[in-house]
Amino acid sequence: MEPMPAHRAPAADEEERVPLFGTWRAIYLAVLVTELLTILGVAVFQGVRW
Amino acid sequence: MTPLDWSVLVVYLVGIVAFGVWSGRGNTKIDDFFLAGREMRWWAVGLSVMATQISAITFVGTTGQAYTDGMRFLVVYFGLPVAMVILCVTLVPFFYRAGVFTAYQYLEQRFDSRTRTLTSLLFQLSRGLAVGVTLYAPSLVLSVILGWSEQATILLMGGSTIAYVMYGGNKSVIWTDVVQMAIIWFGIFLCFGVAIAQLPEDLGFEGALALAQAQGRLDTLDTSTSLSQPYTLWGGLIGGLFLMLSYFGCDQSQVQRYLAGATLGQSRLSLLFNAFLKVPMQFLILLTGVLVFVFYHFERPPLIWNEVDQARLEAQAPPDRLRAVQERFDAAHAAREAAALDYARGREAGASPEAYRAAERELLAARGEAVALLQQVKGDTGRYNDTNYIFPKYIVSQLPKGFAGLVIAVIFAAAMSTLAGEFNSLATATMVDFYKRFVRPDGGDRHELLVSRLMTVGWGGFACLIALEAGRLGSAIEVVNKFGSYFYGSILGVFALAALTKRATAAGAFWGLFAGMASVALVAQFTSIHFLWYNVVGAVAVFVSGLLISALRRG
Repeated sequence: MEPMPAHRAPAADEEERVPLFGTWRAIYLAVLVTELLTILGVAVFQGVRW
Repeated sequence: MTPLDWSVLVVYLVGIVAFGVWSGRGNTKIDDFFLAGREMRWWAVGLSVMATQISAITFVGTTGQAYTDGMRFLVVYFGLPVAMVILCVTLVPFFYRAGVFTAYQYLEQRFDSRTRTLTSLLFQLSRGLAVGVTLYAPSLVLSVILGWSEQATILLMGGSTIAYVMYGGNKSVIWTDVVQMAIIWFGIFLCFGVAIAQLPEDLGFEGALALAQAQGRLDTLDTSTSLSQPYTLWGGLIGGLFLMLSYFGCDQSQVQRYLAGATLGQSRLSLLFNAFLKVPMQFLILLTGVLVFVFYHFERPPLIWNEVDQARLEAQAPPDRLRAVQERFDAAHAAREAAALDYARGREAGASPEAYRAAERELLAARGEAVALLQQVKGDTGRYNDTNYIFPKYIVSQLPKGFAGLVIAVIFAAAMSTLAGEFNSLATATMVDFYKRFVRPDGGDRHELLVSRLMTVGWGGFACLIALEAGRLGSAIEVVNKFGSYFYGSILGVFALAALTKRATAAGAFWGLFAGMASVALVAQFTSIHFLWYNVVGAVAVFVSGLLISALRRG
């Protein structure tokens, strides 16, 4: 069977026209920054002499 | 457990089943039953995603692990936030646009029907086994508290969950998850607060952390690059990322939660909500386990955490030997308490923790002697593990009246929320990926709803059967993750072929999946690589071999 192109999707509605890195970019970045800060926080928690 | 504790527990159990049935009313077709009519808001779906992931094992297993081994398990969740972002950009839009019931349906649209059949079958096999372990964990709790048989507990837990999922489907799952997650969050803060409040006044929270640190219980970030070392930072970041991509992207028990979102944006937000909250929540749970470890410096712990085994030891061990073991243990405990206080008081003046560490080693040696005696009594030569009994024992023996019942209810909530999502998703995969394709494609809404309910009961019953055998499989939490790891990575590889490249063909995906599973089996059999890396091995093997096969077949 001929494979369906990965990016050929059914008819788009309004939601589907949201660009992958458009309005969501800030939230994705916030998640990644929070992740980095979390790991740094854990490192400090582990490293500080209690 | 006091009458007040019992009342709290009974109110929870009766209330949650009643609420589950009430909230799931009005299903007329399988769209309602399996996808809650695709009309749920992000916060409800997000809480449901979280509740499905946090099982009773999380409570019972990871707190116990923190007690015995520290907080290293936290790194497993480090991959989660990144995984959520990747899924929001890749698979979630594909699933949403394809309008599927199961993740595996998407693979049929992209590749062919046999790839869908195989991946759905693997999901049902691995998740069907894992759900039995999920059901088994709370039975450990009740076996300690009530002296009930595990069989009775399994029937109570499994039966009550089946009742509301069978009636209300995904709507019941999501709305009960919302309530259960609220109870769980309350319980986490309650346990954490009580654990701090019970520390000796002159020690305080900071002193407790100092003691935990001296014993290595705060060690979380291990930068070792060894692949066989468990829970390293890299294993968490890379292996954990692949594990979470597989779990949230390819495991129907999670995919089905966010497919119920009213829009693509609602589904994405539900995952990102988890990206922010999951690591802090797990940190709190593990830290509670560490505080329980410190608490038992000042309260004598039992020789054996499992009360049944402790009773057996007392009844069957030679009295002289048992007395000698108990005296050694008591003396070691007293010495550790004194050494701990000495260190805590003198640490700011530069006191060395060595005497305290030596006291801990002696206590462990004394306990090791008790375990050896128990093994001798039982005629068992295997590795003894009572880690999962530590936290339940602490709850029922140390928490104030009413609180113990509430925290036991939390453990029930954690277990039932996971079971509910899994029963529902297993029934969906069987119904949509098999029954509707191979048995009766157009049975009509009423017939399909009836069969879907029967399948929910069927999977619930199967989980109960597996749960009866799970006790022999070792540390529950590792067993669940290991089950997943054997198949998860390979299935992720197939989804990666589908979503990331146009070059992959159906044959490449199908045979690549076998190559991936064979690779994981070989790695598991012949190397000491830690299971967190299996997902990486499986996914990469499928992706590479799938592309190669595609190229060869095309050429």
